Amino acid sequence: MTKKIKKVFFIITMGIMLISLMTACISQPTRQYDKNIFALDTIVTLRVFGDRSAKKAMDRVADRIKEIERHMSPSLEGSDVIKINQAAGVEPAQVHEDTFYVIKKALEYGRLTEGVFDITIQPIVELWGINTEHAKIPSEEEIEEKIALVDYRKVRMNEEKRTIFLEEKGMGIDLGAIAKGYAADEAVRILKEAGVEHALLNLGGNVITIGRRPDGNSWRIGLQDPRTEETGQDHFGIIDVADATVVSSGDYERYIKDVYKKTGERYHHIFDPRSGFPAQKGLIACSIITSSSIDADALSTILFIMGHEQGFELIDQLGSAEAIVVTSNKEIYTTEGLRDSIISSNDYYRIVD
Amino acid sequence: MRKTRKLTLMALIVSQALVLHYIESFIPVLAPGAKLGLANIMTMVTLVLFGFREAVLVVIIRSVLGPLLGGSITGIVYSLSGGILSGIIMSILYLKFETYFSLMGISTAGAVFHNIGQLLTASWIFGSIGILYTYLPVLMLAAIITGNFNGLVTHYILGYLKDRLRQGG
Amino acid sequence: MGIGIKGKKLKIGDVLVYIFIVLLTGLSFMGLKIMAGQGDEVLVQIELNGRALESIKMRQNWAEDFREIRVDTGQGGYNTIRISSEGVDIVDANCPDKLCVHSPTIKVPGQSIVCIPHKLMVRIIGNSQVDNAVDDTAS
Repeated sequence: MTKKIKKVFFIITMGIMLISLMTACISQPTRQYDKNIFALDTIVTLRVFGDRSAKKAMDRVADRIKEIERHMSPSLEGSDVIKINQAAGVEPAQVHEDTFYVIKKALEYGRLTEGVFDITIQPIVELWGINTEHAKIPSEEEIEEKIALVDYRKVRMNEEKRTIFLEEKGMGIDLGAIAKGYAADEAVRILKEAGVEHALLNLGGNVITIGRRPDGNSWRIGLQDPRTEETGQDHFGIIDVADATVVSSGDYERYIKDVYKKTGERYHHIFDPRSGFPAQKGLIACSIITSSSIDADALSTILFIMGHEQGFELIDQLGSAEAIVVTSNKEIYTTEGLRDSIISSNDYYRIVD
Repeated sequence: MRKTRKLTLMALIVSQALVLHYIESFIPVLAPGAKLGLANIMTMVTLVLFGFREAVLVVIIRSVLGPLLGGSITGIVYSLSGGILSGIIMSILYLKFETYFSLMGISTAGAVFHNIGQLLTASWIFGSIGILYTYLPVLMLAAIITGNFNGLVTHYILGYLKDRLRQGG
Repeated sequence: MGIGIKGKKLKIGDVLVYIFIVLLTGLSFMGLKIMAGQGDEVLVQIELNGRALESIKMRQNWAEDFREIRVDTGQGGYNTIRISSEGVDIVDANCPDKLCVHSPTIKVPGQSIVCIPHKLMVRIIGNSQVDNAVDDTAS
């Protein structure tokens, strides 16, 4: 009798062991989910690893990005940005808390850089019209007229009423250099709250990683070669990251193509708010690697405008980001922390220590 | 069993395990890693005659010395991981559940876990779990054949040894 | 003494061992499926000592990528890897055990062949786990 009980007991234990072995492998299928949306004037690709709840979180991210776009788009009717610009010099405009937060953050960077980062650059952006049909090089007078309207100190914020007021008529803000960063931070927050451990997001060239790749390796991120038509290469460098965001800026994305064809000069879309001209500090590309996307977004623009030396000084001072720049002399410089982690297979550029 | 007698027997078993290990390196393999695992016979003999601790000891000595005889130093890590894991599994099955398993079954389970141990080690060292998945199916098939063969041999050896040992007092 | 004498009969536990083997084989096939990833981009990667030596992007028709690669693994060691329409195989090597030469031919993403003495691994990487290629580009 006892022998029989022992036998039954044994079979049950073995059965349980086998089943638990099976379920351990089957019940948690880490699948890959992909989603592409068009938002914030660019293509957003989401790649999330996990179970069905990860997929649901990914869908929420897509909705959230669309929502942020509705508030911060420079072209969508009824967006906060359009409301603020239309009410410039007239009255304060009430905005959504997302917009308020982003503007607040942008003005902090404005103060930190004494106007190198300036969201009131909108009149200059509009004047040059880069990436539109009427792109042209404006006259000195036109630029002088518009640059007078660019001043981040003339943005008034009312924390209580959540309003933004531009002091002068004709002023305008453009959140293009920071909205994507905010959207990325929100995406990361939503995914992490849903327990997603591995994800790779790309918001129009801003790459955001959560955790490592599912296989345990770091994510391998290529840095866009700014002169790919000359070098025939895709990347000027490659970097392995985990839980980090990589944001690049450069003169290669948007510039006046007609002028470039005729003269070889690139009038690109990153303007120096002090001159009203595209930034000319000897850089053709730069990338920021850090954990916060909104910071990365702002810093890459700042670095590009400031140039290598001044820019690196600021980044060292902040101490929370790493950077890499490509100069027009085909030289690559990196901050201290990146020196050993950059992989370069591109002989066109030279890494300078 | 007297202490010296046990010591002598253990030494004999270890040397036989080593000899088997060495002989095996001359037998061509048909599938990767699908060695006969003849040395496993001696592990089982030890397990039956002496018990768990002695069996694991034989495994460890054989795993360390075996690769030095014929093979590379890196082989030690693989022999050890496979050998110890299979030794533990066989001990559990034999000592706790002997009623439900034949020697062939225990030997087969030992072969299976020997392979699992080695493959996990390789997967870990090379950083690719793909190794486990690639080799496992073919090795499982091989384990059934070699496991049964070794189990059968062990059965006969034990039959022979038990008589002799009894005679010797 | 014939088959079936005392102590050699098939017992209940033995059956469980066989079931376990079948399950494990099934699981490893499933593991391969999961690892295979989606998409049709396939990479054959040769790694020595954990470092990628070569990554070959395969075309749809593997026959077009036919080649034999002799890898010098240091200290006079070598392995010859053949890529053909059959898949990837190590066809020759001077390692002591020659296990890699006897390894199965691999073709499915996730599979790998190793030569333990030479610390060489050849593996097939599917779209979702392409290693040497970048995961994404910051632009």
